[in-house]
Amino acid sequence: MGSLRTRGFSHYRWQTGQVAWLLHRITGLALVLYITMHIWVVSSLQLGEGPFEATMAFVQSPLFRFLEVGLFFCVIYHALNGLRVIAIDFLGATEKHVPIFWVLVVVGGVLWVIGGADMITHAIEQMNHGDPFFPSLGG
Amino acid sequence: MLSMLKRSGTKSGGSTAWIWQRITGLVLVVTLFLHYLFLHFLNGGTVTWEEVTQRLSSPLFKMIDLTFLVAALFHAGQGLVINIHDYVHRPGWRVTLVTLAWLLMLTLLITGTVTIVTLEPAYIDQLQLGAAQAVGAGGVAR
Repeated sequence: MGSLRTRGFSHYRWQTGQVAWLLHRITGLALVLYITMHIWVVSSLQLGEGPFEATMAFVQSPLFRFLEVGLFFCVIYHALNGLRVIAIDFLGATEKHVPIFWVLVVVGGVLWVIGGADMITHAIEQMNHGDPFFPSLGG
Repeated sequence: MLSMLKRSGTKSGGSTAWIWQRITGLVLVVTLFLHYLFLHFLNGGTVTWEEVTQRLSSPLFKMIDLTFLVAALFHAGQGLVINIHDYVHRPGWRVTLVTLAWLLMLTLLITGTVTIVTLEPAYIDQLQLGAAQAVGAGGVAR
């Protein structure tokens, strides 16, 4: 009986809901890391225009534009899956949680491609203007 | 003490945290959408000092940003606590990490609030600096 239960458990672990849950956790932790750096970076607003523009030139360089595409993925995934969790908790969507997941994958995928393309376009434009891919701290 | 800790992760306080995680989550979907709209897609993709100071000179945007900040940090802190409770079982470590998580959120809350609230005086400073330079006063020491 023990082994049956173990087998059932390990089989159950990799169903859609579990993958969704794991990704929610990973993207959530990534976002905590990001918001910590983000608030710290943006606090350079207090130093005035010069230091703020210098900081922003660094974090709006092509390298960071590409990293932003990854951030945008985390944001979209965490937000949409969060809505799915709410739908399950409050709107009785438990039985439909798998199809909802796949609908949101499509919706999120479209949003990610549109937003991501915008970010990459900016990066390419910057590089066409001669901006280096890697920002220099002195910049 | 031990039983208190065990309960803090499950029942007492747990359901309140659970509902607030959903409420702040919904608030974040709205505020984060606005954040992305204004800072990435409506401004040509580049954030400038002028644009940020102008936006934040509006009390409405200050309120939106403060709501965003509080909701995000509460949601983030609560998320960290959930993770700590799931993976850290030693009571001492648990208390230490939960305390550190909330201390980090408190630090970020103070930093973020100061940035949002005090931006206006800095903007005015900058305007005065610009005006002084226009008159030809040269280097203005603060």
